[in-house]
Amino acid sequence: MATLKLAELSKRYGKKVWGAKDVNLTVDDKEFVVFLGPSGCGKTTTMRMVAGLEEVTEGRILIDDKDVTLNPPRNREVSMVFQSYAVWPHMKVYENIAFPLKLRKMAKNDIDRTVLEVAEMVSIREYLDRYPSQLSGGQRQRVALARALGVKPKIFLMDEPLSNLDAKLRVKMRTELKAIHASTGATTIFVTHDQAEAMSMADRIVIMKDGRIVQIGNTDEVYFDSADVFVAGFIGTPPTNFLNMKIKSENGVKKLVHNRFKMNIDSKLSSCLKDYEGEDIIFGIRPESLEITKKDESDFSERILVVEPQGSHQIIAIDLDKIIIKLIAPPFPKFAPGDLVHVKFDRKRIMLFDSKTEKRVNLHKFQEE
Amino acid sequence: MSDQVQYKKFKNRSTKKIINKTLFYILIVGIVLFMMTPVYFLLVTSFMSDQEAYDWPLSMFPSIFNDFIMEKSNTIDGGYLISIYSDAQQEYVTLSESDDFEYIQKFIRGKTNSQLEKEIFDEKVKILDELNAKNGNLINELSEKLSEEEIRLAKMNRDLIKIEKQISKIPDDMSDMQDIKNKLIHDANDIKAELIRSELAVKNLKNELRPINSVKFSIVKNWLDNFDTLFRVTRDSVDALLRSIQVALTTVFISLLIGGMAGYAFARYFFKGKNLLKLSVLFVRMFPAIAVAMPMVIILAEMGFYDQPIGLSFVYSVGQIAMTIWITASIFMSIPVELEEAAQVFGTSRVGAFIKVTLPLALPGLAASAMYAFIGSWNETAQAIVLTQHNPTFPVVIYQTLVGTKGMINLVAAGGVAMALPAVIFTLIIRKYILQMWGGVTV
Repeated sequence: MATLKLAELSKRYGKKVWGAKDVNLTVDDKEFVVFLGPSGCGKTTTMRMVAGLEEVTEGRILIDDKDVTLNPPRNREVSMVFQSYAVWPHMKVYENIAFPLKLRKMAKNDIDRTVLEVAEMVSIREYLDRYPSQLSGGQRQRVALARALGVKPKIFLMDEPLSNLDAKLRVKMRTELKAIHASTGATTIFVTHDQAEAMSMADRIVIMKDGRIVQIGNTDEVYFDSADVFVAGFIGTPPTNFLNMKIKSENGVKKLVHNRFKMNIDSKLSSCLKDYEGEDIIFGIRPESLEITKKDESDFSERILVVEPQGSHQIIAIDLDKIIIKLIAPPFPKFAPGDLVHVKFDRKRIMLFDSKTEKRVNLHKFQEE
Repeated sequence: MSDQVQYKKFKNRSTKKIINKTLFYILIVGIVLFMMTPVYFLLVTSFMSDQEAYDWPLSMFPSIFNDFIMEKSNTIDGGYLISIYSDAQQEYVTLSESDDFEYIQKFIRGKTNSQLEKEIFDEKVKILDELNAKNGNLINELSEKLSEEEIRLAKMNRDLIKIEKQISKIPDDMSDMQDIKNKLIHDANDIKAELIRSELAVKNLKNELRPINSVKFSIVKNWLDNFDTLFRVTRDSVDALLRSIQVALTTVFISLLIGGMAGYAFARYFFKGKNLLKLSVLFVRMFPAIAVAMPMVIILAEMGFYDQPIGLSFVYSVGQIAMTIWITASIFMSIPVELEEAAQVFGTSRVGAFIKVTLPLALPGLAASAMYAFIGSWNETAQAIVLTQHNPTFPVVIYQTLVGTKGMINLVAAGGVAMALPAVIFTLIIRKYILQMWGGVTV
């Protein structure tokens, strides 16, 4: 297997629009990297540049430290699983998997062996002499996967491979893909806009926005140490709650001031806030870091707007000065709209962002409690 | 009660359904029959003889046998009179009267598509001679009566015409002439009655004569005679047929090659003015073909392609390429570009991806496009008339037959059928590819 290095990789469409800009990334051997971002963020463009399907405007692509920027797709030793599967409808499943191997001038019995091996791996052995049109979406996806596995590529590219499957199958395939990755150890780049997919599968998540990388990190890092408002708002269901607050000192002690309440903060947090005396700040907190508690321990009290029961937990929405705050509460006791609740913030999980640059102010390595 | 009502309602609805369905089928079948009628009559006429084709009403099926009768000629010494039975008129119609066997044979062949063999003729002559020897007196007697009756009939016809002329000359408003007019009308009615009687007498006499002085026989009709005549008589029609095939196939090749490439470019690439360019391609087809052909005479002559099949192909290709571009562009657009990209990732070049993936998938559509180009070029006549002189294509030959035979419509119909045949065969071959699908479902 192999390493992949992207250096200052950029793609420009027309004269002004940048599909990807200054993408720097090193993918280690056997790593499973997920490109995550909303549609149009440049994740697919970046992957297509790696595959050679998109011309590179600036920058370099190195596979195993060999520059492949100008190589056609067939000379890159990568394989790809497409969003629309892209299995060839005029070839039977066997031929679909064998076609790349034939092009590589593999011996006939080697091809046979490889096809059977990968078909076994993705459990489509009984469908080998069917046409793709006779298969379901999930089975076609497996064929695409088998075809990509068969060539034993240096880099394994997957472009939203699960997005055309139904929800239940998607979750099942997620587990299978991860198992296949574990057994083959292929260096993999996986593109998705589904954060649950990204978080459950990735060794590292590359979050992109407007053609640029915003943050690279493992699931916990991007979740707890979100680098800016975009990441904090994009990752997590429901997403992070944001409140506009001010920093004010009272008797030499820094406090977070909202127009409904004031909050004391610990010394570690206040050390990050030296330059923000009297300034606006964006306060972020994840729904599970809000707690319903007794009145005298709480930060604020408000009536419930909506309750969304989820079985294992309930999501409670509160309207705090026209901003909807969502919090995750245990399944019991049950709440109803209109109930008055007293809410407390978990001080350890507070995220503060600069109100102008939207960058994280209190970035520190996330710690387990 | 309520159950019954519901049941009744249900029943009503199902009868309505059946009626609707029936009406639908009647409509569909009606449309199909309506469309097929000209084709059917063309096909039927192409198998008919000249005599049959001009019968009215036209029969629905071409006959297999021709029924003749032959008798000794009264006017030509040693000659014979041959008549043929006409289905439309329900009686025998005189065909030929001559003492020259070869003339009779040729005439019958041309008129009825039946070959009268010498042996049969001689055999019939012998029978006639025997009949004459046996019933000579009776025949003479009846013949005399018949000719007398016929003369009387002719005279009465003349008289009737004369009287009717006189009647028409007398104006209605002259009251003193009305008596004369009434008398004339009375006379005319008398003659008319006498005429009917006389005609019946003639018919009876003929019926009496027929078994004793004539001989009946049937000859199988050569049902491909029209085609035989057409290819024998018209100038180099076989060459013209081959030339037409050559022109059509060349046109298909040129339009698929150029139109297909352009269609691929229109489907896969983005460039400025794409839509305008695609539309402008269609402008070619908006000009009447004949208007394009006129200037082409000079251009082709300059290039040395005038009166050459290849020159015709070039001119036809102009129009067909436009059509092919539109058809192939939509075919290539319907094939996802990811299929090609996947092929490239898995080891083919760009061209290889096109040949190994896109081309096989586009084949049914390309076949349909080829069929359009073939039929379009095959049927084209106007431009071919202008652009050829000594090397005409088949439609031109058919056209010339139509003009030259002065209305031998059975020959023209045969030409039409002969022309349709290669196009039908080509379509049937291509059809296999059009219907070719992978695993029962299209792309």
